[in-house]
Formats: sequence, structure tokens, C-alpha cells
Amino acid sequence: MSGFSLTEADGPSCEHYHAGRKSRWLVVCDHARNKIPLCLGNLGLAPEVMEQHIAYDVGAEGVARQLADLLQCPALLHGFCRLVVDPNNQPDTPGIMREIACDGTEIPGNRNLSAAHKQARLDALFRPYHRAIADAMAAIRARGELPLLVSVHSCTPELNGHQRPWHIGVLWNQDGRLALPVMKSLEAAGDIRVGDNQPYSAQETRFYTTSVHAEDLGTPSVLLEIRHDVIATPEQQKVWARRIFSALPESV
Amino acid sequence: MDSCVDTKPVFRLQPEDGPSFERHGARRNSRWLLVCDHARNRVPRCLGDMGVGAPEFERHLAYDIGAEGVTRHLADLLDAPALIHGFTRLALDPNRQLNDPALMPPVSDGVVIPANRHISHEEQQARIDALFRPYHLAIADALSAVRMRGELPILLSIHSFTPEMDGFKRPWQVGVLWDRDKRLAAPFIKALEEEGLVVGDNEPYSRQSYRTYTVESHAEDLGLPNLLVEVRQDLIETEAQQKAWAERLFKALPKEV
Repeated sequence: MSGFSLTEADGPSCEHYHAGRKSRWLVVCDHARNKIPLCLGNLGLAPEVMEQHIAYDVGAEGVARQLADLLQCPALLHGFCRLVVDPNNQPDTPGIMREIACDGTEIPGNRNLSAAHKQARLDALFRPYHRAIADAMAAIRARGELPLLVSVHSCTPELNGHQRPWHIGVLWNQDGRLALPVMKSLEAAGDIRVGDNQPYSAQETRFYTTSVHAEDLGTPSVLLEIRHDVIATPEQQKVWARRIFSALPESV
Repeated sequence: MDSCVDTKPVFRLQPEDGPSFERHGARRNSRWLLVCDHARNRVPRCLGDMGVGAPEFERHLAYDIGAEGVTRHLADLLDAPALIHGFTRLALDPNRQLNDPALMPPVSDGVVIPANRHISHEEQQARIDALFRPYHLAIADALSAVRMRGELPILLSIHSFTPEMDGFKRPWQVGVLWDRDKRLAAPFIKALEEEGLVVGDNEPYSRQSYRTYTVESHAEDLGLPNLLVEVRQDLIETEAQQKAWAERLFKALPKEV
């Protein structure tokens, strides 16, 4: 694998949606897109693979934007496929540039990467995104307010033969200030199945974005995993953004 | 009957303990921020002696001997603020990921720390809330303040190391630890060597093989220039030595990044 660099045609590594909005809330979407930097070709993957969950969180970007509009807050949307760099993993873990995706798919374009190539990917796709999140959180704190971080993800209805019954998973570690009221409110609707730290738990896995920018600093955060099939269309995304907006507590 | 019931109160800092960290030169406007993770050997009162004999608290396992003095003097020379952690790393090591077992080590440097064995979940959280989060929030805020002035911050973390570990006499007088960002490390190592010092390049341990917390989370991961400096303890025992080493480090630091 040769060198790595983003070109102008690739566009920026992340999008700061409505950066000028002043709010305590910040919405982030780590796996918004399936775009691959031009210099990597197709990572050795078939086009249909790129439409699947292993490449990005289907539907999550739409929910993140709509939610940011309802909250009148900015959102940070990562611009590239998680298989190139997964911004929700620590840079020194295998998950940052997987050779084998979570469903067993091999990623040829991630094999035998040189240290220099890995660093170039981190410099281009990891660090600017996280610096933007850190800055956005800092700007809120500098106004004397406690920031509130919402991370929007989506999950497959089925993984390795297991059906996932939850429409939405609410993932949290120790700080339940956002997660607990959100779960309570979503469940009160009666027709939504809510997973408490499902389909996986933030108490067992250290998710990078919410840990480093919020949990570690005592700042409230929540990670939401919405099932793909319920946010497949823009109309569904709108419905779910409204549901989440209504479930978020007004004060923390 | 009740002998096995643990009635130990959950961890709490008391007013006599003082704050969990100290700001030195807080009002200084500089691109530089110094941090000293293991400045002190103070134990929060509610932990007593942690079940460890008092002499252990005078050793490296409790804190980085001499590092606080070097940090203060170097901050003064750079006219930069410093954030100094207030308690022994045995109570909580602020330079560890929250999921690292070494955050509250049950064994450190071969010494069993009874107060860190079987810590309840509640107590772990209380220690993190009191000894980890305020310090790291202060670091994040201080770096943010520099960025919001439109400047690129530089994080400098000051530590000290024992002259001998597991029977190995460490030859280095000073270690310069870096991960990927060599903007500061390369010229710094060169300048120190030109002064005739024995410099460890990513020694006594390498940041490329072990992820600590402070420099990674606040700087490296965000693409900000940073350095972790380890001075050998026996060279910075006295105030005069600490001052001399701060001057040496100051002279060798690249002023433009």
C-alpha cells in the first residue's frame, strides 16, 4: 500500500453542521458516511459491501442532522467510511483500521499498512475530527455551561444470526444523566423497544468519542444506536429525530 | 457475625485534604501548558495509609520525586501555566485510561496496596470523580483557551524515573518520550545531547508501545504538539537541582513549533 493523502476532490474530513449555533448540546455522528478517499480506490471491496453496515451507520447522518435542527445545536459529522479510520476507536487498537470487519469481511486495503501510512490516515481522518469535537465542547464550557454530547449511531437488525429486538439502544457508562431519562421517556411511549446498553454495553467497551470528550471529563453524554430498518428513509429519520428530541431531558 | 461486613465509608475528599490539583501561574497567557501528573505523595485522609507502610510513600511508587519542583521552575521560565495533581498516584493515577487496571493499582512496583484491593464500584467512581475528572477537565479547558485565542497549544508533561528498575541501572539522565509527533522531540533531544547529557529517546519506556492518558487524550489524539519528559530522580532531589534541570530543559526546548 502506497502513501495516503486526501485530495481536494475528497472534500474535508468532517462536516461542521451549523457551527455557529450556540447551544449546550452537541450532536456527533462518527460513522455518517461510506465515502472512501480517492487514493485508496475501493479498499479491495465490492460496491455492494460499501452499502452495508460494515462501511457506515446507515441512516444515522439523517437522524443526526434532524436532531441538531430540533435542538438548534451544531453537529459534527465524520466524512469518511469507518473502514478507513474508525473515529470511535483508540488510535492504538486494532479497531482503528480493521483488517477484518465485525461481520468477518476481509478488508484487503487495510492489510500490511506501513506505520507511515497509518499515521497519514490518522492525521487526515482522526485528529481533525476529534480536535473539532474538543473545540466545540470547549467553546460551550468557555461560556460557563456544561456541554451535553449526543452520539448518533445505527446498528444492523441482525448480527451473526442474532435478531436484535430493540428499536433503539441507549448506551451509557457511569453517567446516566442523559441515558436514564431518555430510556424512561422512550419506553413511556409504549410501542418502542429500548435496549439499556444494548446491543452492546458502554460499560464493557470503551467507546472513544463519548469517553474522551465527555465521560472522562465528567460531562454528560449518551450514545444512541438506532436500528437501520427503522431509519431507512428520510421520513423515518425525521420521525426518530423527533422521538429522540422529545425524550432528551430539558435540563441536566 | 458482622465481622465480614465492610463498613468502610466510601471515598470522599475532606476540606483538610485541599483541592485535587493546583494551578500554578493560572493567569499566564502562553502556548505552553505544563502538567505534572505524579507531583505529590499526599494521601486523601479517608484512605489512611492505604495499608502501606509510611516509608513506601517516600518512594517512586507513590510519586515522581522532584518532578513538581522542575515543573514549577520550568513553567516560570516559559512564563506558562502549570497544572499540578495533588495526590499520590497510588490513590488514583491520573495518567491511566479509566479502564486500565493500573488506574488504582492493587500492586505497584511489587508492593501490594491493600486499600486498592477489592475496591467497591462506588468507591472507584468516587475516586474518579474527586481525583481524575477535575484535573483533566482543567487540562482540557486550559488547552482550549489557547486554541480559542487562535494559537496552537503545546503540552509538556513532566515526570521523573527511578535510577534502577528490576536490577537494571538506567543510564539516561533524562528521557524524552514521544509517540508520532516528533516536532518537539527531535530538536529537543538534539539540543540536550549537545549539552553532553545522556538522553533516552523514548526511554525508560516508549510511548509507542504503551498508551498512557494525559498527553495522548489531550494532545496527541488531537494532533497537538506534546512531549513527555522524564528526569532521573537522583538528579532532582534538591530544590537547587530542580532549578538547574528546569534551566537545562528550558534552554533545550525549541521555542518555535
